[in-house]
Amino acid sequence: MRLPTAAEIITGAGVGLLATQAVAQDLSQACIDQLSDAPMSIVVPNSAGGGYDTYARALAPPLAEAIGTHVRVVNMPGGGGLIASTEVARQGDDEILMLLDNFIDIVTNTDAVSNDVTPDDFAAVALVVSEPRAWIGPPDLDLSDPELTTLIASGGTLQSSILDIGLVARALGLDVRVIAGYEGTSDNTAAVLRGEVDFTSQSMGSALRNLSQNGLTVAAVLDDQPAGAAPEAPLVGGDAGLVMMRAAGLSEEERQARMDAARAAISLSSTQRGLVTSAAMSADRLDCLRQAVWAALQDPAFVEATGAQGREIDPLGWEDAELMLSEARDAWMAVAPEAEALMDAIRP
Amino acid sequence: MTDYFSDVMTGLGNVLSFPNIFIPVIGTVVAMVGSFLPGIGNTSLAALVLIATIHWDPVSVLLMFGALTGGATFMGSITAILFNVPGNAPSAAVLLDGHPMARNGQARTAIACAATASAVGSLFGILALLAILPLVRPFLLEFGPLERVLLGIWGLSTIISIPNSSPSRALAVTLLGLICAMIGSDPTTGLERWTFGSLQLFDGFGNVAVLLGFFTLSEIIGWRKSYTISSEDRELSTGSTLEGVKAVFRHPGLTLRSSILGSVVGVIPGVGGTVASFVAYSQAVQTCKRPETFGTGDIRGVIAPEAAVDSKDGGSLLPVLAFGLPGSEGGVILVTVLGIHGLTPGLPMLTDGLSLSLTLIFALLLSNILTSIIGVSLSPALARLTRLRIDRVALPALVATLVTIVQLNGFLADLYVAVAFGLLGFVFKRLDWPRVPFIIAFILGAFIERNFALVLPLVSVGRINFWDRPAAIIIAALIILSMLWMLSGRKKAQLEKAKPRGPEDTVLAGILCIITLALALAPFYTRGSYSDYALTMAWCATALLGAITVLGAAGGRHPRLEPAIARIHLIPVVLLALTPPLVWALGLPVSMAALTFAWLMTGTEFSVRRPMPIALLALLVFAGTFYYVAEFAGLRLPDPAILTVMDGLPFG
Repeated sequence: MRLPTAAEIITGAGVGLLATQAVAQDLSQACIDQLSDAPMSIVVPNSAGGGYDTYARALAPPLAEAIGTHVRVVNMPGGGGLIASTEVARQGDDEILMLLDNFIDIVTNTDAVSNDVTPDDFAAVALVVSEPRAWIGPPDLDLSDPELTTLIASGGTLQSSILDIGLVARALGLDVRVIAGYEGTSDNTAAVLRGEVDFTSQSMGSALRNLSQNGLTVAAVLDDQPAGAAPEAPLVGGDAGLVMMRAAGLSEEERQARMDAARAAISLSSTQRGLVTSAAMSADRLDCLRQAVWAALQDPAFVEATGAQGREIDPLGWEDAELMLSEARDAWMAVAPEAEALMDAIRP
Repeated sequence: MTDYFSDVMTGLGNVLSFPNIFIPVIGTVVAMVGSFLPGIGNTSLAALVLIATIHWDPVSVLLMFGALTGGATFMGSITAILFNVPGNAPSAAVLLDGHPMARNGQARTAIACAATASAVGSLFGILALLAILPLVRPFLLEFGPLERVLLGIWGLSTIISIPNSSPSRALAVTLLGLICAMIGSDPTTGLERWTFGSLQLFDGFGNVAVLLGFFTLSEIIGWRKSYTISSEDRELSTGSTLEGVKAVFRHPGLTLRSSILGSVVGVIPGVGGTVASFVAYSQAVQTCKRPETFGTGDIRGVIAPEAAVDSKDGGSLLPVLAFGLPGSEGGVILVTVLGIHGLTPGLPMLTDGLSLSLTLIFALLLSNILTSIIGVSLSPALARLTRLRIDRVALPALVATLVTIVQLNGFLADLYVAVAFGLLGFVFKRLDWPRVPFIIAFILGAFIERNFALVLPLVSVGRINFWDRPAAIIIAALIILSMLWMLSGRKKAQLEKAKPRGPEDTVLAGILCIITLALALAPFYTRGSYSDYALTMAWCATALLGAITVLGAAGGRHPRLEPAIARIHLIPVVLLALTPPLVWALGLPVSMAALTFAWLMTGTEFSVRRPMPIALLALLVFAGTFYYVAEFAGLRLPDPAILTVMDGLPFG
């Protein structure tokens, strides 16, 4: 018989601990009545099969068990996520809809694209995981090289590349032009592999997968703290980060401007996968929903299902999630007036 | 090489050993049943199976997912051939000739032919995959945006040889198809274009909604009993299974060309089966003798897309296995599956994990062959469905189509789109405007534009050079050769001369001209991003349609539609046109019941003297739709508007 590995023992102990916590946080009958009163759905702004869908499908069964009713997963792709977020913001009292999406995307989409829904229409329920983005490129891409001034990047659209490419490029003092129109992570990675572009921006999870699969390198982590899975990868922010390196010798004013851009880029480029619902939901129901989701996020079934699929989780409760959502709103509001200029700067 | 052979044998052993063999068989049946149900996409099915198989061992999981990939592909073609209802977007190319074959009493032949072409295509795709697997990584990197845009243009160039139509009308509808494909958001800026503020059009018209509308709904309008299918037609034979099987081998060149095309398209991430099937169909029209029979039930129009779609399955595994780059939603799930079970796509899957990669490939092959065997075996029984009285087929087909359309994304806008394209397709058909170039342009349009928009800046920054890319040179040469072939005197002589233009023709051209003019002027009064490419297409279409209108108005005479026929079609046209607002007001189940009731009351088979069975049937449709939508399909539809209004009333 095979003995369990250290990792399995730690995982098992963690699952057991979380299970204990979940039991301790059983919902009150009043909350169960409140939530089972209306059909509940987790809305995913993408088609079935992606990362958000995986989290939603893993979360639905323990959530259903917690409240004693069926929880549907509704895939609502389209409009860059705006259709799903609009649907959730405008939900009626006869249903409970939660959107599982990136907080930054919710804020930027509803503010920049939609005239009907604003970031203030959402209340945070919980955060599932937060991870930084990273620039990946060929192994010889060295962003600390002061001689490096011009780069070509691939991206989805110019609009979606403003934050994780345009703003970061400004912080690093690089002239980056984005070839926009590539579809999804795969297409962008393929563009780097074919040598059409110098780098592309991806979530850290995707970037690490590319490291092992295709021999690419993480040229920069858009963070100021070392990433757990890639501690050696160069950081954009921080005292020893790429921005400080590339700003050496510049005036204090210029250095400060670049550091400000880096801070904004870091806060607006990370992928914060979390759940939100309509801010118009009654306070009692919202409170119960937050409790139920928190219990489900700690349920061993959810931990096991996401872990088995290689998906990281690091849940945060509604207070922290609300704070992150609020910070995302503030950071975006500071950058929004410059969005057009940033788009022009990265246009080929 | 010995190691490779050993891995091949291990992969085969994994599939064929007992009890492993049952897994792909069960997976195939699950996928076939799932894909036969309206709106249950293969991706959703795979996502559910993914959760259920988390604790399985890797070999069993790969067997299951290989079978799921293969099992769903073919079944969409069955409904396309029998009822003009494509089960999925790639099957739409098969209906262009498959359904006319069924209408000509050759349903059995068409199904058997499709099943055989599917098996041969799949076998070719897998063999090609096995041959190039050791060398796959450099091969895959040859296909970038330049090669994709050339591939799209190759597919589009078929309009030159569109049979039974004037070149000006074929070009006009091609431009219209390209414009329809550009509605949505600009691929590079992400800004809205021709959406007129509708969020549900942000990603453009849905392929399936357009295809189901343009082909299926337009066909159903023509299915009123007293107009199209006569009692004599029902006595016709349903064809021969053997004939269908033999037809594939009578056209070895076509089958081989289509299979090669499918395999090549499959390996390009993000291209997909729909492009493969339509490019293969175009290629068949371009390269076959007597192209004028395409669209009227030519068996070559079944062989080409079917072989291409199934050979694509093998090729589409390559980007996933070699790079972990999924080219479709199914590919995304496969990457997830590999990750769950500790398998790393990329070099490891081509070295240490090669036997597992081959297990997946052989499971896919087994599944494709199984579906084909089942297809051939069932072809006599399935073909008998075409003997059902058409008025009894029409209603279930109509309800299933409408539910499918709404269920796709839960968007009411899809219903409006489908009905609008249904009416457009019907008018095109009645006035003999070519439908095939329109749909080919629509399918390929977004694909061409997106890649064209990548090629231009890449050339400007010096990252693409045509002469450095052998694959691009080969595809460009193929385009030139096939165009020269089509334009050669022999082919030209076969093109039917333009038919005399009549009042209806001119009116249609005039209406389309006004619509494109409005779109061409749209940038001046709507916000959004309009590339030069988009505006050029709109202005060219306007100019061409304007010319057709003017010349048509000055042209000859054309007999008007028979008033009796027009009245027969008026009923389904009105009912269809009323459906979207009815769904908006009353919700889907009530609307389907109302539509059923109205359809039967206005038909010739039932009469007002028998209201009870009609009412009961309508009630049954209501209950069935409600149960299906709410419980089985898990679809969340917007509240009916009438409930919203009632909420504001004292008794609401």
